[in-house]
Amino acid sequence: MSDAHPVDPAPEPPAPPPPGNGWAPISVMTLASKELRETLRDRRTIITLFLMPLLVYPILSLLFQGFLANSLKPQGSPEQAGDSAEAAVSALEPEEELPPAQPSHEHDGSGQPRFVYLMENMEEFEGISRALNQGYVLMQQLQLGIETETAPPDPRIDYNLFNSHIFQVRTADNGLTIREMIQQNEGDVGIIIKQSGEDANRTGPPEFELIYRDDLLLSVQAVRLLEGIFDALNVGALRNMLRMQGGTPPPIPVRFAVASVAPPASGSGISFTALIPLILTLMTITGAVYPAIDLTAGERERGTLESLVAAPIPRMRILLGKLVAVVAVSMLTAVVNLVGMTITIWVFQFDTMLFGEQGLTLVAVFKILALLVLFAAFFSSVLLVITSFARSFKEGQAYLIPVMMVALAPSLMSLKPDLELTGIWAVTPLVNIVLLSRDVLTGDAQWPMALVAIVSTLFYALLAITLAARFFGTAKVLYGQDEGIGMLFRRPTSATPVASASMALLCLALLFPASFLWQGLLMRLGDRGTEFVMLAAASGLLVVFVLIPTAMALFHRVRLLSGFNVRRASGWCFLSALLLGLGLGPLLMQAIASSGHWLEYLQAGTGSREALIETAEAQAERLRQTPWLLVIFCFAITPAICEELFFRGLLFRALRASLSPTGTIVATGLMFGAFHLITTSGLGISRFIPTTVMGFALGWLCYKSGSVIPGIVLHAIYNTLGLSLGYFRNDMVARGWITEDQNYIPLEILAIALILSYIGFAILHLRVGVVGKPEDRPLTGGKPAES
Amino acid sequence: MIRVEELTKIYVRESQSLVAVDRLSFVVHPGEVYGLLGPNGAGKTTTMRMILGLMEPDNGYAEVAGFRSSDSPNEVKRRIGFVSATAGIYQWLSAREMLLFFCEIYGITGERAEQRVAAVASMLGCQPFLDQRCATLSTGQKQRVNLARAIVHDPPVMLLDEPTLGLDVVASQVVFDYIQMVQEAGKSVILCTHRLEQAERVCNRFGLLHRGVLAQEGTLEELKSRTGRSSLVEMFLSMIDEMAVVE
Repeated sequence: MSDAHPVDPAPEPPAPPPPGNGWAPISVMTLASKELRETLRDRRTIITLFLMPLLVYPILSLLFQGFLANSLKPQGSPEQAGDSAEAAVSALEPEEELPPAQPSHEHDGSGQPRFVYLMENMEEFEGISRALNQGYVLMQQLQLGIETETAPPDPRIDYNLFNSHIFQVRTADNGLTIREMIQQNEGDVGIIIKQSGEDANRTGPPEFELIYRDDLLLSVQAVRLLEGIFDALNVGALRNMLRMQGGTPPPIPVRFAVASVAPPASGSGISFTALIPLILTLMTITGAVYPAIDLTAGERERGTLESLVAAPIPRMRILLGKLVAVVAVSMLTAVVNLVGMTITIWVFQFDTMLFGEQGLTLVAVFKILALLVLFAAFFSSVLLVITSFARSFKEGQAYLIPVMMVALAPSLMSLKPDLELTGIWAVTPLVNIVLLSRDVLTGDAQWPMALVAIVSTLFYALLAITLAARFFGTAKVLYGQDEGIGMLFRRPTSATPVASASMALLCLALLFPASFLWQGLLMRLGDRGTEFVMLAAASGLLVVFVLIPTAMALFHRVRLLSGFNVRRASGWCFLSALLLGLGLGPLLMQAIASSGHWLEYLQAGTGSREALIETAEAQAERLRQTPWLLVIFCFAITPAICEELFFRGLLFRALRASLSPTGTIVATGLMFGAFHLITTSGLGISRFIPTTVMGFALGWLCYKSGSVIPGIVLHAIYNTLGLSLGYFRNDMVARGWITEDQNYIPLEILAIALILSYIGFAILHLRVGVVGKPEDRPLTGGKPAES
Repeated sequence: MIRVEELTKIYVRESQSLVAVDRLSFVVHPGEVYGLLGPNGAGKTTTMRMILGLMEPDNGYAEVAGFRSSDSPNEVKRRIGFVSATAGIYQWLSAREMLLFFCEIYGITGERAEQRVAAVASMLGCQPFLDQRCATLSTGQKQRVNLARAIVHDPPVMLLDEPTLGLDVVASQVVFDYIQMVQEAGKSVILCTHRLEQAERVCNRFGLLHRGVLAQEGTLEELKSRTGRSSLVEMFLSMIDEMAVVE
């Protein structure tokens, strides 16, 4: 057969037409649907999806009920319980018409709850015990619709509050106040007599304050009983009043106020409201784990991944298809769990107990679902990064176990009842979503911190998928025998002039929490003096925007000058920067002032507009006490250098390698704005718009000049102008240039600013040619083309 | 149709370099079956992966229908049907579902896809188990489905890396019959196999690879006259001996 073909073949005929005319790469959704079909047919997925919730929630509800049953036991030691029983008995002694108290409730097998009420002393209790019992009987009569005046003894009514053992009284002791004792769960309700009925000098009805813990079922039930008794007394009085038919109405016999106290900060209690979202997020994770391993390491092990990457599909598309499938399965798990949990909570009537009076609303359930989608996207991306390196299913599992442990440890922190969604917790993955979900469930969610949690999670998801894209399906991962997850932390062997997009985005994801933490730290340093705080703020910018990116660039062998876009630029670029800096400042400031009414609306969650102005004015006043040069150095020049080196330096160059100029300018501008949007003190909506617009202008300048330096000049001038206006405001008022309450910029100044901006843009547009991709230009001595 | 020029791949493991493919050059014309033969570790699979664009060469290049694998991997992949011994199939899909999925990847949809699947299944004898879940198929049936997956888009170029590994004589024969058929259809084929007697029968030319170096290349007659051996097996053994002596 071999001789059937010529050894020296004839000229090659033209290649046949590409198969599948009109061919385009397969869509992500088609890939995802194949992945989903395969995953959902796997019985291991079905077990995770349906069997787990079927088992978990009934077991959890039983455990929860068990916990409640335990919480119904009397507090304190048996001896103390005996004492309190005696106290209850002794309290009843003077009330001759009441039947004697029964012996210790330790022998009470009725299963009724027994509440421990704390009072200052037994004399006080003796003073009110008769009234309490009357109220108790009246309450039952009202509930049964019995006419109280003429009613004969009714076997359904318990005529002795103290005989039924549900009411025990203990006095404050151990040197603790009643409030402290309630905090420490030494009793269910504290009764503080604000104004005694026996006080001859009293000016109104007897007044009580009831102290209880709203996170403890027994405490809530105990206070409800007392409220019922007092209400019945008041209603009884009103009925009497009506009976008197026009006579002088007697005063309301009892007034009372109810105050709940938070559990002690150092207590070992856990927040059951946070437990719900924690379980949901953990179940969402569980749903994602199996498909994440199977669709990456599993496919690699079975040899199907090679067939897929050998097909004409971009690797990123394959990865996104898998991500969509993993998120979908994860969400399906979340939905099944959410439904299971909602049914359990509803059936067992835990809703009002856990989430307050509004119970579990449909809106809250949908909000939680939305948060779970976000969380599933984030965690699925993380899982895909890790499992992409695994050679087999087993290896994938081995990689994920430590990750799950790492995820679980901080998430348990979210169970602390006093833990709030602020500071580090707002940017800690998993914890922030659990805390935000808890706040959504209880209706306590606040926009600024919710946004911090959401944006930071989005950042982390973006970072994770970028990292996954870097390695997924590459030859090193597919065929490398020695390569493992260590690749993620391996230094490149050769130097590169520009950082990769994944490295720059990793850097961005790190800078977000770092910047947030630094701002929090500055707030703590507030009492160290303005100048110290100013220098600390400048140092923070240097650390966050320069030192961290520099360390990462050095690790990745990125050449610093080219990586940070530090290059020569033409004089026209600097002239344009100067004009834009002077012109854009007043225009943007006026734009903010003009849009005040809707900013006010957007800032509803962060306090009133007046309060914001007041805060800004107070800050400006503090700054005026420090030298102007120091203010400009710390808040104008340092931010300009540091932020530009990162946003229009490292990040711009890295993104420019794979995005169009417009895409790069918009992306860096939005990220620049997003960094200014979120502050530790709330949402900086007023900062977001001008900084984003300024980010676009700076991005365009960077693109045209091919350098970060003109941008630093523009940024510094813009900052200096804004700060100086605030710094010298009082002087300007004194000189009569502006009025005390002027919040607009004079028209002539705006006209000049507009002209300056126009000339600045025109110079950039007409005198500076497009430099092209930065990496195309020589690294040193290169001069951008000028028209 | 396939041009390989000075193709080189060096693996670096624990700071030691291993030249897996050393300046390899050859051409495969349309209607030609090129047997890339060699012992284990000779660099055959690495060469295949570089042609397909799954691996970046350290030097040199591979071209398929005028497209360089390193520059236009997707254009190259569209024109290749790749079968490897390690390729797996989707356990939870039926053979038909899997073939339709790969049709879609290559832009063949709807009725055309159904027709194409039916044609390929009939050609490779997959019809009886087409709607069976892949996990339940025998080794031979799986390999047939794999082959069907690789040719479902009717590619002009085939890269077959040990396509008969683990197959019995009957199943192997199906594969070799198919190779003969695609050759007659004017396609270019590179075949890596350890079944040398079968290779002698279906290949037009051979490249004998040893430790990444193309030791011999030519038709069977040329190789016989050049080496003085009467079969590929003998040539192989003597090549390995000679290399050992040189070292």
